[in-house]
Formats: sequence, C-alpha cells, structure tokens
Amino acid sequence: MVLTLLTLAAQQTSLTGVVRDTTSLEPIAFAEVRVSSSGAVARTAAGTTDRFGAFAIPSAPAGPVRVEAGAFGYAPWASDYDELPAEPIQILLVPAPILLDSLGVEVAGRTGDPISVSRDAFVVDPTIIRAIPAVLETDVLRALAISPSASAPSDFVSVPYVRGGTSDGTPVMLDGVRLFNPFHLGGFLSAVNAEAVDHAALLPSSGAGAQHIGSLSGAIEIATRDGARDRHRAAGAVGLASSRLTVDGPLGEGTSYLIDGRRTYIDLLTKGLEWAGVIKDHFPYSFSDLHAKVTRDFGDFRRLSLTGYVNTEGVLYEDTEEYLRTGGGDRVTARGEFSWGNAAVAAHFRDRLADGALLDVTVGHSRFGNTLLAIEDPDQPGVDTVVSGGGHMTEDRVDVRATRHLSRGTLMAGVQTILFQGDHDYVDSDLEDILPPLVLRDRQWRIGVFANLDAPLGRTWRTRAGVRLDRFSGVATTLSPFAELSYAGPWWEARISMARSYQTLASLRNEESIGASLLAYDLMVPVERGPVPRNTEASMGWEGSWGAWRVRLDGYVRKMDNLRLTELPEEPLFAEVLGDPALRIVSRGTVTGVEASWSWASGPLSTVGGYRWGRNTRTVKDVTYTPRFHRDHELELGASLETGRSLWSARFSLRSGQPTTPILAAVPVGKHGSGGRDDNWWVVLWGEYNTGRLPRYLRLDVGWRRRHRGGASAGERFVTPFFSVANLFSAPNVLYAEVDVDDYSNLDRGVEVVREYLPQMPMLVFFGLEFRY
Amino acid sequence: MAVLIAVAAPGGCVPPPDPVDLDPDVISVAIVLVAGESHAHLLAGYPHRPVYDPPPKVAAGLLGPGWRIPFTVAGDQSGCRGSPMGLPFPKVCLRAVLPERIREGATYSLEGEGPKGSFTGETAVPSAPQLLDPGDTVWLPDSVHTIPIRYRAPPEVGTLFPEMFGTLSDDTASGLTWIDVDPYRLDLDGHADVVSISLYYRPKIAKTSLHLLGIGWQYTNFRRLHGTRFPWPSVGVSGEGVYGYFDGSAKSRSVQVLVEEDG
Repeated sequence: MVLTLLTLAAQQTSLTGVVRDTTSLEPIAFAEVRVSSSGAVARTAAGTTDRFGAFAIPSAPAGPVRVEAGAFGYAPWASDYDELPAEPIQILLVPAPILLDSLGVEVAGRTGDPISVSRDAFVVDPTIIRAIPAVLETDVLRALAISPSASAPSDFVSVPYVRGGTSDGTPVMLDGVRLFNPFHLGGFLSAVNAEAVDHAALLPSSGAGAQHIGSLSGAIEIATRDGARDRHRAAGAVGLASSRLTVDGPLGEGTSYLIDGRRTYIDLLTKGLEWAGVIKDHFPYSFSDLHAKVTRDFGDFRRLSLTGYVNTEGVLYEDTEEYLRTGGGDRVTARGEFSWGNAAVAAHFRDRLADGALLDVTVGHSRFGNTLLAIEDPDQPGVDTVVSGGGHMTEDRVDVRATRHLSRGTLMAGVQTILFQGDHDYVDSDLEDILPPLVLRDRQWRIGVFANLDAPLGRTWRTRAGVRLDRFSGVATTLSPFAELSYAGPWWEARISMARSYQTLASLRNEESIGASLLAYDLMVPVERGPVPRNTEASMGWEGSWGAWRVRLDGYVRKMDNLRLTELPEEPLFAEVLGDPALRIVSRGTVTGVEASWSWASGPLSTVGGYRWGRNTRTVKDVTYTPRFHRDHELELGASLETGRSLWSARFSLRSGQPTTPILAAVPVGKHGSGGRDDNWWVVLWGEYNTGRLPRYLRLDVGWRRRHRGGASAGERFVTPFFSVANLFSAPNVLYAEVDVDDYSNLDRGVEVVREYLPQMPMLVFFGLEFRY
Repeated sequence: MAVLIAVAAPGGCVPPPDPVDLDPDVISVAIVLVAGESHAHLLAGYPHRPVYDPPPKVAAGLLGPGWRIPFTVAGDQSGCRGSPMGLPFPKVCLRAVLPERIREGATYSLEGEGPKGSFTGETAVPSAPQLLDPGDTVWLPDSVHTIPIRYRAPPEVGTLFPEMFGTLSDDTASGLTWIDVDPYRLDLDGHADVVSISLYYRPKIAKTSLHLLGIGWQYTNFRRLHGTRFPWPSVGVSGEGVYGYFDGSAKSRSVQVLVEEDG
C-alpha cells in the first residue's frame, strides 16, 4: 500500500515556512496556515505547523496568492504575494487576548482545543493545565487524564493508564527522550514543571502518530518551550509543598535558554506540624527537579536544542526510643535511607535537506536509579535488615527521521537505535511476600526502521499507512504495520484504522497488587526470550464541530498478546508487588472501548470532558479476569469560568467501581473428631476473581485563581494567587476492601461479614502563588 | 501515600465498614464420616440468619455400598459435637443410623434437598494414620507433659488431630474427659512425621489414651478456603445455595498413657 501511494505522489509547488510568536520568537505548534489563489480560479490549500512551528503545504496554488495564518491566542495574520514564495517564509503571529475556547481564558500562547488540535492526540497546554484545579500543584499528567483515553489507576498516581494498558506500555517522552518514572511522591505529582511545558500530547494509539515510539499503549509526549528570544522572563510559584522557578530568555542572536527548577519542603513543613503538635510524626521526604534547555535557531528550519533534566527524591528517617536499660539516652530503633531519581539529556537537530525534506536527529540518554536501605536496631548486634537493594535502568537512543512533503502527501521515514540496560538488585528483604529478592541484569538493543505515508485519495478521502521493522537483540525481529483511512465531510471527519506494535520492556510491577495503586514506579527489564509482547488494535473515529461545540467519538478493540503476568493473587493486599517478568506467565488481554470527548465554550464559560465505556480482560493460563485497575465507566468533566480577573475552575469525576472479588458466603466449620477442644470458626467464601465491584467513585475538585497585573507599566508582570480543594465533598472513594467477619456482635443479626475500605484521597486544600515577569 | 491515607481517616473520608449482603437462604452442611462407626451426623444450618431463627428443613440421605439411609433429626443434638455447633446460627443436627460400620477406603455419597435446591456430595473414607511410636503403652513421668510420637499418614489424609481421652488424678475434671493437647491439629502437606504432643493445660493424668484422627482433603480444603477465590478445590459438596464439606475420617490405634509417680 505504501508503495502504491508513493507511486501516486508527484511533486508540485509547495509553500513552506515557520510560524513564530512575534514577541518571544518561540515556534508555534498546531498553527493553521492557509494559502489561497487570488486569480480567476480560486483554490485553497492548508497545512498545520508541527512541534517546531514548521509547515509545508504541498500542491499550493501558483500565481498571486494570499497566505493566512492563525493559532489559538494569536491575532489572525495575512499577507498577499504576487507569486507563491519559493523559499521558506517566516510568519510572526501577534499574541492577542482571547475570550473563548476550551478551558480557560488567558493571554496568548495557547496551543488550542485539546481534542481537535491533533487528529492523533489529546493535547493540553499550560493554559489548560492551569485551568484544572491544582492537586498540590498544577500537574501536566493529571491534566492529560481528563482525556477519555486515560484512566487514573488511583488518586495517588498521576500517570494515566491508556486504553486499558498499563503505564509500562505508555512511555513518557520529554523533548524526544524517554523519562523513566517522571513523578514524585510515589507518583502523586508529575515531575515535569508545568511552566516549562509548551504542550503535552496523549497518543492513545500505537500506530500513526505514535509509530516512532514503538510501544504497546501509545505514549505521552511532552514538549518544552524553547525560551523567549526577545528578553529575559521569569515565572514560578510558591506552593504548599514546593516552590518552582522558571527563567528563560535570549543568549545572543538566535539562541535562547530555559531553566526551571523545583524543590519541595514537605520535610520542613511536616517537621513544623510535628513541632506544633498537629501531627505525630513528620514525613522526612524531599524531592527536587531541574530542567534546562538551550535552543539555537540558525534560520529557516535549521535548529539545534539541548535538553537536560534531573530529579531526585528521598526519604531519610531514624526512629529512636529512650534506652531504659542503661537509664538514659535514646537509641536508634530503625533507620531508613531511600533515594531515587531520574535524569535525561537530549540533543535535537533539525535541518532542511537539499530536496526539501526535513531532517530531525535526536540523540538522548535517560537514567533512573534507586537505593533502598531500611534496617532495625542498627546499633545492636544482629541488625535486622528490612529491605536492602537498589538498581538502575538506562536508555540511550539515536533517532533519525526525515519528513518529505510530496505533492500528494507527506512521507516520513526514520531509523532508531535504542540501548536499554536494566539492573535491579534487591538482595535482602523482610518483606519477601510483597518484595521478593531480585537480581535482574539485562541489556537489549532495539534497532527500528519505520516509514509512513500520509496522502489524499481524491478530495474527501485520505489515507495514512506505514510499517515499522524492529530487531530486538537476542529475542526477535518484528513487523508492525498500520493503516488508516479517513473521510472529511463539510463539518466532520470519520476514520478507521488498524495497527500492530511490539515492545520487549516489561515492568516488574504486579498490577493486581494494591501496592501498584500506591506506587507508580515502573522498574523494567526486557523480556529475555520470545514471544515479544504485542498489541493489535482496530479503531473507528468520528469528530465534528458545530459552533462552539467540538465532539469526538472513538471506538476501539485491542488485543494484547504475550504479556508477562503473575498468577492471580488470593489477596491483592498482600500480593507480590515486584517480580521477575521472566518467571511470569505468557498471558494475553483484550480491551474494548467507546470514548466520547467534547469541548464547548461560550463567552467566559468553557468546558471540556470525556466519557469512556470499556471492557478489559486479562487471561492468565485459563483464567480470564478483569484487571483491578479497570473501571467500566469513566466520566471526566472540566469547566472554567472567568469573572473579571478571576478564573474559577472545577473538575468532576464519576467512575464506576473497580473490580473486587465478591463474597458468596460465610460458612461455619468445626474441629471434627471425637472431642478435645471445641474449635469452630467461619470460613468466608469468595467468588470468581474480580467479578464484583467496589463502590463507585465520585469526586469534585474546585479551583480559583486571580491574576493581578503588576502595574500599567509592568508589561507582562503578573502575580496570581491560587486556591484549590481536591475532593471538595470528601467523597469516601475507595481503593480496596478488606473482609472481616464479626460473628458475635449481634445475635439478632447473625454473622456479619463486612468490607473495610482503604480510602482514596480525602478532601485536601492547596494554595499558593504564581508569578510571572 | 501512607500519610495521605492516615489523613483520610480523621477527615471522614474513609467509608464506614460496609456489611456484605449475604443470601439468607443459603444453607451450610458439615458432615465427616468416622470409620468404624455405624452412624453419621450432618449439621445443617442457615449461616446467614440470626441464631433465633428456625433451622432449615433439609431432606438428605447417605448412600453407601448398596444402601441409602435418610437423615432424621437427631434426638441428641450433641451428636454433632465436632461440627461447628458452638457458632451462633440456626442449625439442626441430623443423624443416620447405618446398616453397617463406615469402612476405610469405601466411597459414600450424599444427596439432599435444601431450601434453594438439591445438593450432592461424595467422599472416600481415608485409611487410618499409623502411630509408629510409642508402642502400646507409654509411661510418662509425672513432671513431664510431652509425648514424642512418630506417625505415618496415608496420602488421602489432609489433617490429623491428636486426641487424648482418659481420667485425671486431680480435681480439674471428674470421670472420663478429653484432654487438650498441643498441637491440636497437624496439616499434612510438607509435614514432618515426628512431633511432640504436649498436654495443653498440663493436667495431672491418671490414665489416658492417645490416638490420631485423620481426616481427608475435602474437609482440609474447606478449612483453608478462607479468602480463597473461586474455583475452589474439592470440598465434597455441591449444589445451588449449599456450602459446606463432606469427608471421611479414620482413627489410628491408641496408645495407653500412664503416669509414673515421681520418686
């Protein structure tokens, strides 16, 4: 099919260029550029800018033309040309206050509506991120979870699961390099500073737009800003748990920088609360992250950017008690030293080749490491080690891609080399039931070659098709095709697609354990031997817009093969949290879902939301069950209202309950035989695994922020206090239910079997102050 | 996250314990045949109803080699001793007088009709465990309360109960009595075949006997079902709205335990 389409493509005239912000000169992604002939026969062609503001419009009309450009938050731009420009043009858009579009009203710099800006992704920008009520802080990953394709496995985990897959199948990419475990607080808070983000895209499919990723369950791509090229700017926030600062500006002609950092003071805060008697024990935890980026723009399309990122986390504690035997002094009864973090560096170079193709080269290195040590009675002979170990995983990648705009379509081809190395070593643990000793060391090369073609078939039909070939060293060679056919009506578009993808990286995490809902960290190793985990998917989509409404519907079927899963646990609360994928069972899964997402805006009020119905199964040996993280129904609704300088926001979540194993009966059992002790007890009989449901989930978060301009001559200086309440009504959402038997409390009622719940997040209040100048 | 959960509790965010709706019409049955006895007891009850409710009406019969004997309500309800009589739920002890003694290795069937439908069951009575040591009689010094034993259990036995029965020389009990021992139960997967039996309350023994009662795997499986998801291992009984177990048991030979006076 690719060859056929290639044959059909014939080169014609085209218009190329870059769209930038006229003030900061930062590139503008997702801007629409339209070229119209102003001759006797009117003809129009259009294109959209890519991540770096570049656009190409093949088959542009010749002769006198009018070029128009527009982007959310920018004033429309237009210019007339006597002839279609042969050389790339630069379009500078002027930021303009905007009064409507989804979620939030801010000044300029908007990426656009999250559901229609990209046909492949749900895209959020800083304005949307800030218009979602903050949970501790404005959070990129939590904002993405408003997409119906994304599901939050629990309130404590910000990284979403995508279309029934787990997080190990959805890599998070920062400027083209993978960030392992990009979060803090066990997953509660994403570790990418929202101030530095240009936009973040959730790619729910593994084909089409995520072909270059090569994962099982799409990807999350976070693109950071380049930094302004007109003057230095600073922005930041002082929050309840941390403060952050972003500084960006020019570094000479054509070069800009951006540096952002964050540091928590949870340790100091809880120490103060402990001192004040508010809490019993402080939480000796801290985290920090630092990100820096330098971009050199050589003109036209050529650019070079260098990105560096590092974050650290740690818990250091020491429990003491008075040493009574010696009559004085304290002795240390327990000591823990846990530290972990990740780092990444990436270099991206773009240039235009002689034949007009755009060349993108990304070289990156990423690392996650951790050290765990918890001991009891460290000062006593025979010290008791609770847990000891550590490890790291690294990824080195070189990614070369060429994009060529043909007269009839766009051809993209690339080659990718990735070296993954994993080393996980937990040698001593008192927690063997949930954290068994592990020594896993493995490395694997992945060499991938891929190509795809996006081409029109007549005036209304369009197709995309591609193929990816991967060599996983020592395991297998795989072929991953995808194909998509779409039809564009006057105000709507429909599409159908199929895709297949592979990945060898498997997480040590056992998703059926409760621990997986509390700690989001994926420690990964490549599977040692085939078959390679595989995803096969088919989807249908439709989207349309009427006035201020935008609606998108998607239906999909996924089949996941060769997953490495554990046998079903009897009791998820005590199930093994981490385990060696090589010792697991080659299993499979299916996911079926229907998604609806919408956005609407009218004056100062705007909403964006999504609903998803789905079925999700895993089959281990001959047992098929619903994974514990799955919910059949999920509704997410975000809304914002601007009144004067205040922005009020709300986020409402309504989800059906997670699966749980039902209780069928409590049955008495006795000690049989002739006599002796009369020992009787109740046996609680459970039904089929995860065929019951926990209570439904309901949560309302609200937020408020008010922007204060720093004086008439202050230019862009703003101070914005914010306040938010998560789970406003303290809805008693649950994470898990333990079962207890009470057989003597009330003889009039008989035996009573009760579920005792592990709660999700309670009502929590957050506040802080953002600033920008 | 533990901190957040800890915060959740006083914040009223933890849902109160939620009673599980259990079907009040399901019944429980407990029956363990004892090799050598010529009667059988079946305890039937409504496990999910208040103790003062009337017990279920259960029509059941035991099928042996060439015979079927119906269960009737036992005149002496204590005949179901060993079944979970002590728990508070409405229950009835049924008894069947058999035309022959229960035999080791023989297969027996159960059939019956409960409030929600019929149920069936089947079990093979296990062979008796062998008590290898001590011999027929063991002399126990008065100050010693531990009896080392060595035994061998056939594979069809899942649970062993050491049982002591006799007379005491102090005033803690009069006449014949059962003596609590420790361990009172031995699970036979991955077991050792040597164990020391201790007298639990250290009574002064005058004369007693010790034997091992071996019960099959269906009872053992059921006993371990707590928190076990479906499908369960065989428990001997199946039917709509009926939960419980049906198994057989057999006793080893007895050892006379006599106490030597100190000095």
